[in-house]
Amino acid sequence: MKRFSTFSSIILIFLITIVLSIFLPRYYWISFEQNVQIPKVFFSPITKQFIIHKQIDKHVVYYDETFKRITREDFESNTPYLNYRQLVFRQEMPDTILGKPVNFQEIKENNLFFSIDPEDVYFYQINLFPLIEAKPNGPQLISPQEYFRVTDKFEIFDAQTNKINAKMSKLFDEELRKYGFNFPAKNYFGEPSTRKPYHEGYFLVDNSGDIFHINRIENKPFCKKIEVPNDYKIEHILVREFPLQEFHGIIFTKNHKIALISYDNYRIIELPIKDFDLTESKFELKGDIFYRTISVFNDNSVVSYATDRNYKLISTYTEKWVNAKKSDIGKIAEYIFPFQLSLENEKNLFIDFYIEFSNWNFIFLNSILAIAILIIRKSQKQTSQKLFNAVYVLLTGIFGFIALLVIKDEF
Amino acid sequence: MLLSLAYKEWIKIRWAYLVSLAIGLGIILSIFLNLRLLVEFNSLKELWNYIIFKNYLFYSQFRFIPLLIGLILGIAQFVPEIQNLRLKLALHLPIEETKTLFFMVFYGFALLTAIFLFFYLILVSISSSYFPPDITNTIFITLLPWYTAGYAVYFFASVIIIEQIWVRRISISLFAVLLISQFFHTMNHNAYIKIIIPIFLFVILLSTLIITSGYRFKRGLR
Repeated sequence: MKRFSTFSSIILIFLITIVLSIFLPRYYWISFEQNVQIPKVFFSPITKQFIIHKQIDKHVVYYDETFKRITREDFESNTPYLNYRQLVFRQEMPDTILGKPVNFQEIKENNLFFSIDPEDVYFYQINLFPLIEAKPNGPQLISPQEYFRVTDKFEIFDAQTNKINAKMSKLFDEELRKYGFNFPAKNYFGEPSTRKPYHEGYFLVDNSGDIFHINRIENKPFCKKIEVPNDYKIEHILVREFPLQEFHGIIFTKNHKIALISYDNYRIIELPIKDFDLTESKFELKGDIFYRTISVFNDNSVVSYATDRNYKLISTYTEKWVNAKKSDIGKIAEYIFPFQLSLENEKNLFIDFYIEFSNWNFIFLNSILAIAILIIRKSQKQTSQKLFNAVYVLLTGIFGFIALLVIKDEF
Repeated sequence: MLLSLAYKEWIKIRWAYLVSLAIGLGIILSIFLNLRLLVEFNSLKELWNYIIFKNYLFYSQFRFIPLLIGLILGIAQFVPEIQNLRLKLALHLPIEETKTLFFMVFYGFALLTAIFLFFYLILVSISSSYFPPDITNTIFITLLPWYTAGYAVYFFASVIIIEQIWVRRISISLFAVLLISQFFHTMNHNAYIKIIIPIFLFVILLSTLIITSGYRFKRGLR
């Protein structure tokens, strides 16, 4: 019984160590973490420079790419397409911009804004998507009762009866096979909502890694195989329907490239952005009549690229900041905690063991605590237990130290 | 001998077990009626959409039920043992003490598994009459963290109740609560899919904790 008791005492110590390695760092950060303000970067069609705004000490400040402060009014006048409502209100909206007469409908249509975060991509997705009719009998898209999945065949479920619609499934299945689709689908990309101006359909990656564009048009299948450069292994395809209809979607590849699938017969337009890792960084695209601003947000920097409408690079801007981990609070944490465990991560929605090891700074505290536990437990007779205590605290630091204080069992 | 021990355990927990069964069935009935109402007043296709894209869990009411059942069973099984120190008798049976204690927790573990499996099968059968397999298949992994919490609370209950020293009882309870809170992070489908199997196996290891408390009990640490 004693032997088993030793085993279960060790499990208890281990368990307390794990719980502490989650909660102590968590409460440390809750107590001390300071908000880092992320700049918002725009490209001015007037000055042909980047202009930026961000919060400093609870106030919004505006500055240009040389860090010269500007007023909010200057900021608005220099981004007339973005702030046209404000300029109209101030009665300062020019009649022409860069020689182009101002047309509010056109401005609205050409203003693009969207972003994608790792969190939008990495979560468990049930692969069942509504087969939305792209040409409905009316002004609005209608939420369909047909849901499809692509396993070893194309299957359409009827959401009213929870049965497979065999006739329609066959129709789509045959169409995909005609285009050489290699079943099953590895990935599905698309926007399953009906609150949008039109329905682009879905992009499926088949078992050989080829991309197929599928849609339901007047109740009939539409399918098209998309040719991409050989080195493109698809990480994600972002589909967002905008009235502008400039591109079908944006491809993010596993080797960190970004490319648009244009409306010009699915021509691939590679964006002039190096090393974008969707698992780590946020992507943002803003656009107006003349320019595109693409920003990549990393943990401690933003890199913005201004391009023309053909996505030719005009200018880039980089701003860095000190993120929480590298701040003084983060450095002190490395002296206290040998590692920090969390089950959640801001980069995806999966619960997992996210463990972050500190650099060797923790060794000071760990050594002191290891000696401390030997002194506190000097009444223990067994050398093996003394050795266990010292080594355990040396490895697990403050977490193991507290665990051994709580569980005083002798073994 | 083990058979009589099993009978003794059953006598202790039969009412608690029936109450647990009734609570679980009551909640499942409520889930089912709620589902019927949702389909009646909206449409099934909207519900599919909600489940797939908005992470709506139609059985989320069931979330804390395994936890509650684990606690009820743990209390029903181990509180009688420390009243008048009855556990002493059990530890004096002509079976090895470790075996007796293990038998007790595994008996509870088996009963918990039976009731959890039963509830799972009912939920699956309700789900498969409304939803395609793709949705129904996510129930298992989504439920597993909640079930694991149920097992964990049961094992901890055995340790904490048999333990006789209050300071240690309280400190183990505190860490038990903190650990169990980790099973309720999110309500997304299959969010725990990457780690639930190792976590489940670790929680099974907690079944051995009763031995420490039993050993301390035997040594008369009060």
